[in-house]
Amino acid sequence: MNYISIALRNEAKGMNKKHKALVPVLSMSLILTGVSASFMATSATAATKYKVTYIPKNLGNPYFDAIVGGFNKAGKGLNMTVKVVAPAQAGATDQIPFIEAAIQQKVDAIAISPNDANALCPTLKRAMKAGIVVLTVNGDTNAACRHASITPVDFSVLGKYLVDQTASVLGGKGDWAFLSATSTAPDQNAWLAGAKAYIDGGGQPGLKLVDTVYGDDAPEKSATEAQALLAKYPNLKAINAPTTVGIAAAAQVLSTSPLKGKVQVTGLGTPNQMRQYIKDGTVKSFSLWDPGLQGEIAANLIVSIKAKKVKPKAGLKLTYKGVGPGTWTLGKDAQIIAGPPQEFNAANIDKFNF
Amino acid sequence: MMSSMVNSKSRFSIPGYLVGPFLILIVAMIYGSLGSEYFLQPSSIVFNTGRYIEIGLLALALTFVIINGDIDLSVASTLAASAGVLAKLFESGVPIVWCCVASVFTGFILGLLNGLIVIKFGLPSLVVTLATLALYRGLTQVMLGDGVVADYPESFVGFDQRLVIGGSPGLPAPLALFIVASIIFYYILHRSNYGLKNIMSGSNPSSSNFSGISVNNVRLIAFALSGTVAGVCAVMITSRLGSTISNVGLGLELLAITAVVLGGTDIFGGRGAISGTVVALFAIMAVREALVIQDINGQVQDAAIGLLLILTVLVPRIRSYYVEQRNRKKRFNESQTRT
Amino acid sequence: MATELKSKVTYIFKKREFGIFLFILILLAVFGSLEPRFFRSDNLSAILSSVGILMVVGAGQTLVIVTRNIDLSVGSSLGMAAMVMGMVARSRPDFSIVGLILIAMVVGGICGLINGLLVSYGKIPSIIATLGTLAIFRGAVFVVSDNVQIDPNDVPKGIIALSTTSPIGIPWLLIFAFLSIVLVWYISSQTLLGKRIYAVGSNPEGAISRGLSFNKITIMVFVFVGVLAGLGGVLYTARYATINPADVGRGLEFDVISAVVIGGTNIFGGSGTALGTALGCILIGILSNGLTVVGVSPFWKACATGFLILAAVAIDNLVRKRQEENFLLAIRNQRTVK
Repeated sequence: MNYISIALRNEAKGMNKKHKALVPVLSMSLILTGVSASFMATSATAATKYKVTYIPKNLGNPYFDAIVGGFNKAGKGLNMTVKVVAPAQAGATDQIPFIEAAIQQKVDAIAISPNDANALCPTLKRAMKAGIVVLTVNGDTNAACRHASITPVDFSVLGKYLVDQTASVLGGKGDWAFLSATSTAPDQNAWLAGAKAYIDGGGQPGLKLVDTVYGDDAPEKSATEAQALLAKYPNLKAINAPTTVGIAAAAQVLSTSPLKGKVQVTGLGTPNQMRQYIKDGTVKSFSLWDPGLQGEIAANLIVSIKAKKVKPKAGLKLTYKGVGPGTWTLGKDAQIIAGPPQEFNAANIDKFNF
Repeated sequence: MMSSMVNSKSRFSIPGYLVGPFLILIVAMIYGSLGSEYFLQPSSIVFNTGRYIEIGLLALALTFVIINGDIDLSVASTLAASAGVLAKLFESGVPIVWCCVASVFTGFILGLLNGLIVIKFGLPSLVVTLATLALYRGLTQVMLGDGVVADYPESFVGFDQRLVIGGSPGLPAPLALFIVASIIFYYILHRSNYGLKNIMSGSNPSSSNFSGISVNNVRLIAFALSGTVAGVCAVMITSRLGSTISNVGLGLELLAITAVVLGGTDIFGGRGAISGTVVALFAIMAVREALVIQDINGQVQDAAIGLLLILTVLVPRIRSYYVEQRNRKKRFNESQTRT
Repeated sequence: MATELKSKVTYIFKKREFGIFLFILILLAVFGSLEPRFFRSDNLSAILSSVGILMVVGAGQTLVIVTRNIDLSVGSSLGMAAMVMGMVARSRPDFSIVGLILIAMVVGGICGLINGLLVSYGKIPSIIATLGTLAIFRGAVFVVSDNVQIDPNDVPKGIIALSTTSPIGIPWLLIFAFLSIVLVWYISSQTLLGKRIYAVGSNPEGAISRGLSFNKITIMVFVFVGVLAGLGGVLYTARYATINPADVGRGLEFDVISAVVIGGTNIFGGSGTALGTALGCILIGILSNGLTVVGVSPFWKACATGFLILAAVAIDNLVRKRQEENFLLAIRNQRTVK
């Protein structure tokens, strides 16, 4: 081989220098990053009997913070610590590293609000095989990948509820549209399907569903979609957004638009975020449920399964004092339903804080 | 001058660009194992490599593209579109094997398309692949809409759990694939004619052209290779997840590029090594896993990787700046003593 | 006189920006004819509002790209600025609006300064430096906000009003967008600093040899885009009222760079105009809104954006090549004449 190619190859291999300064700088920075970040991690170091990892869809969503509140409330009396970790984005597979970490840490239970009904199954099944209790909270995966599921409301009737809710703010008649989350979100898609089935079966004949658009749970996209709906359908009378990001975006769009009050906004949202819009008249009413209740049920269920070796299956009755009505029955596919939706309007909006 | 270059090669030393990634890897592993006794367990290492291997394979192919002087931002979207083709064909009843072949072929075509647009129109690859990032993702969305394709056959799913060498810990199939791929890519880049052409096209395109190297062909091959690898990764990711939706692989391109740059490859081309990319990938994997096991959340993990990326590029430059200052002083002093 | 006028007109026609303007007109015609409601005033103003933030940040990004750099961290800087401002507003509801705006711009400027230092003195290629700070600033948003989002309730009415009103009837949002574009136009065409910025971009080595302070100019453009990102953060809060640590500003960099590139700015630096960027933003806004209003499935939008970028750059390249050919031809003709 000639010298030129050797020289070029050496050139290609980069500088042949040792970097002495690199050693302390890099290790310092890595340790500093990790140490400072550890302080941010929401992990308790107390030695309790039950260690649970809860993985919400993503971070920064006050709705999931309320579920965590429920977990902690119940966990105090149950000798349980709950760690909350989540990915940066609500992507289908972004939760997998955290599930794997929990398996490694040999936690007692994993509770997860899944971003996808299928993609997490292989990992969740491994967790189950490792003896970890797997619960889905607020949303569900394929039934084979978890021991039990806690849904906030009866998903199979939530679709009907959304349609009825729209009817109530419209007085029974008018064109309306759905502003949903991501096009792949399993919970929203289940509700949309339920709504369509109800309408096709003759429910609320005075209403006409003209479109379903996806805001991707992103504020900008949701606002743009809401605006486009207003432009595209001059007879639109209501937007129903069954997602907290979507309803806030739509409400914001309408509260600064000449159509405020003429086009109704309703759907599912959190009281704190929507309070503004109830007070300024953009939104007559919207609904949600108490997310914290799910956390309480989940914590109790984990103890039942772990300590009392209860096997979750349909028809099983459980009693948890102080948790909602007290008795809970598992439904099909080991699902517990936390309760009926709660409507928020001008009369009661100030009573809630989440 | 040339002899000194050859001589310095004979002294045993880790090439400079590898020191950074190696250090990060070691420190991360120490940090991770300090944080949790489960970190270094063989089983955890085995189970966790799957999703990083996809990034690693993309990074290997991307190394060629970047050394060339180009960049390919669309690798993740190419992966998605290939996965979409796989899913759609499977849905319509085509046997899974042919779906996988189609996926790889789609990746090849899309990568080739990137290269053709860049070369025929003479456009900067940054902008073209920015456009195809959107375009190919759009194709995926059109193909898959808001639906999910699941129900892949049992024999197909779970590639990342298969062990090539059994026992504990065993060698997981993706890791084995990555090792084989790394060796192949190493030979292509550092030991073959094409690799040489690639490096030369990156460091000086015009003189390479005059030397008889068809720079355009070299670039085209690099793009096609990048696309093909993305198609292979699409098969892997589908097997690992057992389902396909339209936002599959979103954001992977940034991680792949990070791995390449962290490994010492010059973003402007002309210089780089497969070994760097490989070590950098393992370093990223170690850092992420170490942070996850400490229950550190997603955003801070990303921030840590970003910080390390900057430091890895910054520190050598600052050091060489000081070295140059010192050399200048030395030369100045020497010239003084001479007179 | 007539020939003067004619040459002025042909001059305008040849300009890149006119081509974009023409394309905008075509799109308006197409969308409008398919769906007359497209031209409703509230729809058109919605388009402008949606690209207002894009224009403010894009104006800054234009100068960055002109200097042969790129800033991928604008979204995270915007988020950081918005979050800090939001937290101040939440804890002190009576804080002055102007004060809040200044806070946001300062935070954005600090982010820009960090970028500028990394690129100039740190000698890190801007694509890598800003790829890193993209993640670092986003992480900082999380840490600073402790994962708690800012609700519409906490945002002062005065800030929200920025997106809807102003003393002269046009919302402040649009005024700021317009001013940013005008400011960048003024800097680039009317000031010596502007000429230096373009010089640095088109010939870095030559510029250095002529004594231009390369580092100072680099830092300046990054701080500038950071400050504009901060302003963008204020406008974001005004428009969306919710500041979520994960969502705020996410993905902005892609849209901004697309708009700048579509607007005719060359990714290799040295050329590009604020007007072009503004037109690029408007084009993207029209395309996005128009496709929805006309009823095209949302899944085609990404494809459309990709095609648009390709078309814009391809045309730009063809024009540039033809200009080069004409230039070389002119030189050759001159020589033969002599």
